[in-house]
Amino acid sequence: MRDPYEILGVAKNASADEIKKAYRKLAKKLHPDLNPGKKEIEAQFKEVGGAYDILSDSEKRRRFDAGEIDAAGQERPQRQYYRQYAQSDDGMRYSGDFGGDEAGFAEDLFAEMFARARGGRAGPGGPRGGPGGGPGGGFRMPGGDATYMLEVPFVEAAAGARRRLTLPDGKTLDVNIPAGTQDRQMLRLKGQGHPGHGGAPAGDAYIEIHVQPHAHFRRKDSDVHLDVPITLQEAVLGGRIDVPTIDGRVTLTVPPGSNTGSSLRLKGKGIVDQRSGQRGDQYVHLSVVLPEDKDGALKQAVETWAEGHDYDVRGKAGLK
Amino acid sequence: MSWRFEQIVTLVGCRTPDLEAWIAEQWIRPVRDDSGWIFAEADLARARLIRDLVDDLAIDSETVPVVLSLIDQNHALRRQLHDILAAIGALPPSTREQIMRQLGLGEIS
Repeated sequence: MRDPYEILGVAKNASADEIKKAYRKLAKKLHPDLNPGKKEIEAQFKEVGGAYDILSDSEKRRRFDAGEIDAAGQERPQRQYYRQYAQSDDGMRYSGDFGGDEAGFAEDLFAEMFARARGGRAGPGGPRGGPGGGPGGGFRMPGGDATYMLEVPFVEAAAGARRRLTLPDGKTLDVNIPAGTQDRQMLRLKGQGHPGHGGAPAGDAYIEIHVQPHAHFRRKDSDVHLDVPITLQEAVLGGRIDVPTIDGRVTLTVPPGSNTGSSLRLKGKGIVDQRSGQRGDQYVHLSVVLPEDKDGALKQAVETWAEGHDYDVRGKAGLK
Repeated sequence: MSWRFEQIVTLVGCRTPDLEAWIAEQWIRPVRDDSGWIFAEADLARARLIRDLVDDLAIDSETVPVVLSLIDQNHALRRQLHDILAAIGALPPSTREQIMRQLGLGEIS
């Protein structure tokens, strides 16, 4: 990075106020969002920002003047400017206000083009059809599509839900989230986009669904996976345990001798596959959790049991 | 990527009442669902732009909507221009040349 004084165009002894003024003047000229067509201006703005970060902070400025720090490494981090989104679907929400006039703009433009075509290159006073002047000048243009984004909890996306979305213009959209909706899936609401012009149909609204991760459930294709801790007695003796599924709690039988890593399948408790209409399964992965054994009773029992009960686990796992 | 109100306050480095005011003034217009505001990337970038306008460029709150409106109009026009150029670009070469000649321009790249 060049000398920050040079970048801001101020003297070495400039006051804080002069520095601020110089920065503001440059920022007004160089801010990337005030220069949507100039890609290269971003680097210049970044440099000016970095220079200002040093000189506007009296401690940093003192250290820079004393030669303790140099201007390198003081640059501002990369950032995404609004201009990068302004013409995206989300940005359209803002420039879309003027896009309401989109058809009008095109209408004026075409009226002018037709006037030229009829009368040659129309000079001042030449034949010009005013806006909407010509007979049958009604101009039809379908409305644009609009894209919105909706965050949906895991269970609602899996089991299906209805959500009401209030749009920036106050209009509400009832969104039917079908069961089995996946993360980043796009839902289309026909005719709910931007209005058309001159009686032409409205565009469509697209809702991109973002599925929030669940604290316990994981989705894999149309199956749901869930880790469930069990007690030592449940593992050894078996038992009935209560587990959550996407449609509520169910009772599950743990067979005697269930180990950490054993999986139990709840058939048909998974997620609907939107293509086949089939419902997947839920897999419950067990893990045995030892008790705290405050009174040492377990330790005692196992000591007794351990006599003559050696078993080779690491050899079986190929770790020997 | 989407963001919630408190995340935007942190990411933009503004105060809660600032962001509330920007939404109330409709300078920034996030979507809303039952659980609150949802901000898209574009909304985050726009909030940063507003902070720059107010803090760095010292634009007063009476003038910010004028600046935003001009920026929005500029983007709307750029998009329309882009659409028109794309439409011209899809025409047969002879028609395209005719249009460019009429406009006194060279070939559209």
